Amino acid sequence: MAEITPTRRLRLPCPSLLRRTPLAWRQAIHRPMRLAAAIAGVSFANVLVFFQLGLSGGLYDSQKRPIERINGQLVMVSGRYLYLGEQLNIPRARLTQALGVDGVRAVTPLYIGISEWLNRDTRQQKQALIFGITPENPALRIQELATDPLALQRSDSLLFDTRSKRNAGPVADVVRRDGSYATELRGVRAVITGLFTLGVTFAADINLITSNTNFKNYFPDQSSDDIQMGVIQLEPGVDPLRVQATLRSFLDPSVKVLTIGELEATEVNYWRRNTSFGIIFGLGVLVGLVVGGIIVYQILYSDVSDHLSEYATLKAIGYNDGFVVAIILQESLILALLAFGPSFLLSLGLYGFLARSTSLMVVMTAQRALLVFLFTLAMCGASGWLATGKLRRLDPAEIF
Amino acid sequence: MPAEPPIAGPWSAEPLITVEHLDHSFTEAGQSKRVLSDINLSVHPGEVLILTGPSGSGKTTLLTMLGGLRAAQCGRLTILGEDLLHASAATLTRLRRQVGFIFQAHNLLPYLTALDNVRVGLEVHPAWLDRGRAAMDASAAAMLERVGLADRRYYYPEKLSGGQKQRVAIARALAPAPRLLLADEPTAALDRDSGRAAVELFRQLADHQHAAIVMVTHDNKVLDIADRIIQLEEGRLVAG
Repeated sequence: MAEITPTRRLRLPCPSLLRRTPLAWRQAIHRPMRLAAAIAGVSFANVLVFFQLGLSGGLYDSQKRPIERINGQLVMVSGRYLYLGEQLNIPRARLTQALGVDGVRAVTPLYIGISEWLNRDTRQQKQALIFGITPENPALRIQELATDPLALQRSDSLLFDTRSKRNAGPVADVVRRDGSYATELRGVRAVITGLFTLGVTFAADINLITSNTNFKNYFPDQSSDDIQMGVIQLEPGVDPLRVQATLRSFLDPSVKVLTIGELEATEVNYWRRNTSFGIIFGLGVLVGLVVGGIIVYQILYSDVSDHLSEYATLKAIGYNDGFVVAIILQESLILALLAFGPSFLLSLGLYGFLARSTSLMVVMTAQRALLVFLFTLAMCGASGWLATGKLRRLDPAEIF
Repeated sequence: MPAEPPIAGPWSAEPLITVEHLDHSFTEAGQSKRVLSDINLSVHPGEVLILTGPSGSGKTTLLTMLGGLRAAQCGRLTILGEDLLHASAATLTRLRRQVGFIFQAHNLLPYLTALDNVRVGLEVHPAWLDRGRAAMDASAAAMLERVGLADRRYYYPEKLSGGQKQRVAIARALAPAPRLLLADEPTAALDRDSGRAAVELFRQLADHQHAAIVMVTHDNKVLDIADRIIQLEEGRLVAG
């Protein structure tokens, strides 16, 4: 028994808590199987919370991916703009107006449309988000276009996002092998001539990039005067907010000018508020916390009930209410601390799996780990406090 | 540790317990039920008092009041210099630290060894905490040796017999050398020899440390240890 060996360390001045027998710890480890079950339960709850936060965070972060690639400092969109993928038109002439503002170097249109992609093998149709860009001044910064500027020069060029969902078919493999992949977009023949890497959003399963001229082939109804987004490129050192203010002063409210940051925030807010994702994932987090809380409460409550006379004895020999309640609270925090490590590691694995299987940006951040850690502390602490109700009302005279 | 009061002889010092005209009632379902009536009692340092009486006579209630587990409602109740008439929870808790309790049920913490259980009884005293763990362990081990459990000090309660557990509980109560020891049927779970050894320890605590001992017992074999035997019947002291 190592713990009774007298050592110098114990003679050092230290808080009375450390000089005392660690009752909460001893109680927690007294029955290892029960402790393991408790840790498993709390870990499960944590993983559930990590899962919900990871998926919702991945959902929101992934929506920003095309916006992060926009090759400019300001964008012009329809006044009714809600999210990327909705086909809301603005007249191209509005964008040209921006050229007159001091500090604007260039403008370039970004055509955005959703069409139905035909999976050749399954004959199923999947949603494809198509970006039309001018090859001379691309509205999106795409690595593959930078290395091969001619990739969009042919009038029928069409690039396929290698991170598109697998239900598109074995497109990337075929293109790498044969150089092209022919299918249909809403009944119109479409040939993939190259690949790029971006990552899908919830707006569609597949991302495609084509030239502004070819874009019109897939959306024949669209007027050639209409664009979906105008990208405004500024001279170096020009304050985007100043240009934004100037543009707002003369543009009518049917169009609005946003910074890239505002566009990202609009995108995230759309998915957060105007869809039920926020509620679904929020409820998922709540369910995780409630499950974990119930597990901790059950364990601590039975600890209290089974040992009521021992706790009364502690009160009878002179320990105050706070000391006895603290034993249970410490035990709840011990459970929270012991369960966090395993649940963190499990969640890292889960995130890797989710990122691979959903193509979403499901990544562990220090912020999220801290948030879940605080959640689990609060959950265990609250359950611990509820479990001490009997202890606080316990009358030590009753043990005689 | 509180300083030992200077004592010339066993009966000359101030009493550790002074009870005058003490009544006590419980309220049950809105009805007040008298359990103690006009108790007058004083116990001096070094005195061993045995309290007997039929069950329901109020023995346990009186014992809990002497130990600061209940505040007094009327009359006078002074224990170790603390006035317990309408005493606050904090006052009662402070008093309980100076009182040794032995309960009918041993109530050992199941997740601690015998030695740890005894040490928890020491740790409630700030003075013992300051002396450090080694000193507390030494004291706890010595007390376990005195109750005949030197070789069982690292056993958990579940591995001890009922009598052994009760002896650990006795060691826990005696280790801080309390000035007042209250025991409720302490020998009930013990065989003849262990019971005898336990009450001999009480006698030594009274003789050497000038502690006062109040013990509820029906065990005729240990009555001879007492300086005084008092009897309760229907909440009144009838002899002593």
